[in-house]
Amino acid sequence: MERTELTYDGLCGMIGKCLAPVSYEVFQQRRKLLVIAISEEVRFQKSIQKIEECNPNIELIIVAQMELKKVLDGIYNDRYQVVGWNGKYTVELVDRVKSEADISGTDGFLYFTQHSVNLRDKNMINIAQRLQKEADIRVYSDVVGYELYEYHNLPLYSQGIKVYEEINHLISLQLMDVTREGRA
Amino acid sequence: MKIGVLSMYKEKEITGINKVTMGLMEELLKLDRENDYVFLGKTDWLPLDMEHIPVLPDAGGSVLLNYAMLAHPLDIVHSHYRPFELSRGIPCAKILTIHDLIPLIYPQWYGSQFEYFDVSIRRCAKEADKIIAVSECTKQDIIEYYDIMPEKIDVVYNGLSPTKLFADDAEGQSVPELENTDFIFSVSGLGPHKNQAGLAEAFLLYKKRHPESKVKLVLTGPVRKYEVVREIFAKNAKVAENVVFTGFVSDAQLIWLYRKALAFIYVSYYEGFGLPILEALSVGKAVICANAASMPEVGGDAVAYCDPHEVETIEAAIDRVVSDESYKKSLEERAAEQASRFSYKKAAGEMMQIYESFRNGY
Repeated sequence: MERTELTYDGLCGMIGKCLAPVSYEVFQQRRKLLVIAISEEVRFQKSIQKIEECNPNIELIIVAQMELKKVLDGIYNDRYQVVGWNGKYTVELVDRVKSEADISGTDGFLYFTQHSVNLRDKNMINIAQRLQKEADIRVYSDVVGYELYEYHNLPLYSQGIKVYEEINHLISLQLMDVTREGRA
Repeated sequence: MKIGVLSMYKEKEITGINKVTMGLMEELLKLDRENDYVFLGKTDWLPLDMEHIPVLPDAGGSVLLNYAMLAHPLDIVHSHYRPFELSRGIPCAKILTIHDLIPLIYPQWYGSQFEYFDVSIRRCAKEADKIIAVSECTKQDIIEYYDIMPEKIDVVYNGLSPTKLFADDAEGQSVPELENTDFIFSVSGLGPHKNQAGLAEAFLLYKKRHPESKVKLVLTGPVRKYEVVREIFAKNAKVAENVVFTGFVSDAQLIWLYRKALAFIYVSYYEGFGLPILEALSVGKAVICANAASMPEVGGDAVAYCDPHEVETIEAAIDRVVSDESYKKSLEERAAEQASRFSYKKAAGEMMQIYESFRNGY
């Protein structure tokens, strides 16, 4: 059991070490951010305001669902380009953004989430990795409560999560087999 | 026994289900000297002194617990309304609290959540060894919609949390623009089932019939975004002068609003429990509420009922409470006693008995 505990805690620890809490002041070092908007308008606007306070010269390209784009266009249209998207955000949005906006010089990617480590954010991590293939891009998530995290070593991070899920699945299969044998 | 508690997402302001978790856990940690409690996931945002097990939070709606449970064995996992994925071979009793099944009851309004309730929560309900319903109404819905045997479901009512907020000596904070206003108060969520439109319509009808009345309707919460209310604004020029939308208020302002109000009104079509009704009763307020779903369980004979689908009956209830001082007083006199029937101390005692029933296996 001790060995299992070490493995479990070790894996969670390894995943956790791939990200670090940072302050909004990190955006002083960024020139251009690609931001995926969320439907929580107040949270989104406050977060953008905090970024602007730290770096008034920062450029933002915002990606938002079509309905939200209309709202954000009204708020930011004179300052930032808002690219519309329908449905779940996928890596394909990188090409859409490229076709509608000038992403050259982008050095940061920001998305919003509920947890700093969140298995539901695979699509965001995929988008981040795609962006990192083409340029040196820092990846951040804005977590509930205006906490900011920066992600390091995304391949290790996503591999860790994959292993976690696979182990969970294998345990389930193994225990189903044990249960069946027991019944037999 | 070692009991793992699984609750909702991290929140900046603790609301809804997390508030229920907090209220229950505060009392369990005080009362229970036999069992140890551990929170599944980070506790840095929860003001509870609890050990925790790191859990990667979410895999498309379900929390994957197999690996965590092998490394950190628990006797019971109690999920406060999150579906967990836990293999049957892991020796652990599973308890699921269900607050309501609103997306199954109103799929026309909550289509985006229908699948989550129809698949994930349904599966979790089937797998659970025990289901806790927060009202008899919710219990009946679980039986009907999930086809679960009644014996598997226990009712444990919610209480008030934080209790100190509703204490007699709790200090409120005034909302300056309402200090010199007589008003009927309601809290609101975004959902159409909360029937803010019916409430606004009924209040405007009351004002039309009583043009001399200076009473206003005050609504807190995110109602400003709600499209139906926007429509009411568009159609009725008099809304702005009769209905005050405060947006979100602090806990201290909330308690001030409850106390300052002439009466509290809640005409939702459906509630799994109806916490705002209990909050208003606890400060001795006259309450008007819908005679629907769980609300009569919370209101008992201490509130004025109306049919949430009939604007006329809502208006009649408003009229009677505002104009008949002795009737209002009789409701106020019964309010606190009715509220005292619900507490997290009581809920914790009942939960301990349920946990105890798993001591010798499940």
